[in-house]
Amino acid sequence: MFSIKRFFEQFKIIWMQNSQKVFLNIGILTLIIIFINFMIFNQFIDKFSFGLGGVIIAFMTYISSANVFSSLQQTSSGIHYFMTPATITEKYAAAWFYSSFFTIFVYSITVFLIYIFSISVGNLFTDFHLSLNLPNTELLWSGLLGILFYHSFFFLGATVFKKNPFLKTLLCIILFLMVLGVITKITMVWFIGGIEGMNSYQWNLEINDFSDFDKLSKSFDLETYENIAKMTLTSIPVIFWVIAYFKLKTRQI
Amino acid sequence: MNFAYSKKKKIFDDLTLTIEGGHIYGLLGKNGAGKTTLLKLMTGLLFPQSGITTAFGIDTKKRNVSVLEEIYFLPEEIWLPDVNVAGYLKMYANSYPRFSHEQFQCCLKEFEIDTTEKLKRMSLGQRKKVAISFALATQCKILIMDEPTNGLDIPSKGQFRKLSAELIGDDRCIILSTHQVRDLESLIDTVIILDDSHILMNNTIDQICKRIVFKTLGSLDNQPDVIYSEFTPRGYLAVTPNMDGSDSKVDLEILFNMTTQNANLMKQMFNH
Repeated sequence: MFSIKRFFEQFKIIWMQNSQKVFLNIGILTLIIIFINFMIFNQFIDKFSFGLGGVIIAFMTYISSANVFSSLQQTSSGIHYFMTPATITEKYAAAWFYSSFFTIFVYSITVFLIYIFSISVGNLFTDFHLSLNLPNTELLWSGLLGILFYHSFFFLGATVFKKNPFLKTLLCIILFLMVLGVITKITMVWFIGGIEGMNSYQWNLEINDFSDFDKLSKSFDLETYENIAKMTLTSIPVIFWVIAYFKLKTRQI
Repeated sequence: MNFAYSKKKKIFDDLTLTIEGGHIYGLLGKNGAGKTTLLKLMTGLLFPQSGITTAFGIDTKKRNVSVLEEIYFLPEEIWLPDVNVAGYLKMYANSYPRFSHEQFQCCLKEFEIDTTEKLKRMSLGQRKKVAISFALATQCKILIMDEPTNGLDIPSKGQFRKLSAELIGDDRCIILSTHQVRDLESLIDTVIILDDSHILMNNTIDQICKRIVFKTLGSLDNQPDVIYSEFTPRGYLAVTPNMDGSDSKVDLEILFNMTTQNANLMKQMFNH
C-alpha cells in the first residue's frame, strides 16, 4: 500500500541530502543572472526576456533528475537506500516529484525573484524604466511540457547509468536526436520522391523549397502526421518513466 | 537457492540456511567465499537465480516495507550523509517504527561521540560507532552487520560486544560477518562457516563443545586423538573429539581452519 507518510519521509531524505547543493546552485545562479541582467541594462533593451530563465530552469531540472538516484552510484549508499523502509513505488514517487515539479518550482521562484530584483535595482539606479517580459500561459505550459519531456530521459538515465548519468544521458539524447533526424529525412524523401526518390533523390535535401512542402502535403495527410508526432512525443516520457520504475524495482546492489 | 555473478562460477549451489531468533550468528568464510553476497541475498539487495530467500515468510526480493522495518543491514563500508547526528536522526529515525532515541543516545554516550560534529568530518571509527548506535536503536528483529569491528579502536570493540549482547532477545537475532574472529569470539553463540559455495558448518557453540575439545599441547607425540593442530610459540593448539564431556573454550580461528581443511570429517562429526 502506498503511504503518503513514507512518501514524505523519502522526499525529506532526498531534500536533506541535496539541500546544501541546491542553496549553492541558487547562490551561483543569482550571481550569473544578475551579471547578465546588468549587462542588458548597458545595451538599452527596454524589456527583459524570460528566455534565459527558462533555459536555466530546464538545465537545473535535468541536473537534478540525472542525480536523483545518486545513492545508487555507490554500494554502501545503495544499500542504505534500498534498506530504508519504504516501498519502491514510494521511493520512486518521491524521487520523481523532487526532480520534476519541486525542482522546477524552486528554480522558477529563484529566477523570478532574481529578475524582479535586477529590474528593481536597475530601474532605481539608472534612467531606464524596464519591465519584465513574462511569458504567456500557453508558452509557460509548453515550456513545462518540454522540460518534463526531457526530464524523462534524464530520470531514466539516473536509473541506468552508474557513473556520470547526466553526461551519458545527454550523449544518448544527442544520438537519439540524430537518429530521429535521419529517420525524418528518410521519411520526407520517401513522401516527396517515392521509391524513385529514395534511389535518386539528392540527400542534401533542404526543406526551404515550397514545392517540396506541396508534394509532401499532397502525398500525406499532415494532420495525421501531426497527431502521430503528438502521440509519440506524449508516450515517450510515459514509457521512459515506466521503464525507470522497473529499472529501480529490479536494481540489485 | 542458487546464485552466481557469472555463468562460469557459482557462488551458492543449492544452499539452504535458516536463521532463528535469540541467537548471535557468526558468519565466517575466506575472502571471496560469498559472505557479503549471502547477506545481500538475505536482505533482498541481490536476487537468487533460483530458489527463494524469505524473512518472516515474505520473499525479500519484494523489498516489502514490513520486512525492511525489521531488518537492518550495516555494511562494511559505512555511508552517512553530510549532516550531523540530529540531522541523520531527522532523516531516517521515523522510518523505523520502534526506533529508540533513548537507546541511540545511550549508545553514543557509551562510544563517546560528539553529536554536534558533521558525520562526514568524523573519522571512520566514529562514523562506524554512529552507524552501529543507529542500527542497535532501530530495534529491528534481524540485525545484520558486515565486519562491524573494522575501524573500531580496542575499547570500542568491548563496548560493541556489551551493547550487542544487551540487545539480544528471544525474537531478535544478530548476524555478524567477520574475519576478526578474536574480536567477536565471546559474543557469537552460533557459527556458520561458508566455503566453496556451501555451508560447511551451522552449529551452536554448545554443540561444538559437546563434540570437540580445544587444548594446548606441548607435543603431539602419543596424541593419537588429535584431529587438527596448529603450532604456536606456546605449543600446539589442538583439537580432539570430546569423548568424556569435558569443557573447553572454542577457538574460532582454529575451528575455522580445521573446518575448511577437513570439510568431510567435520560434516561427519556434525551430521551435515
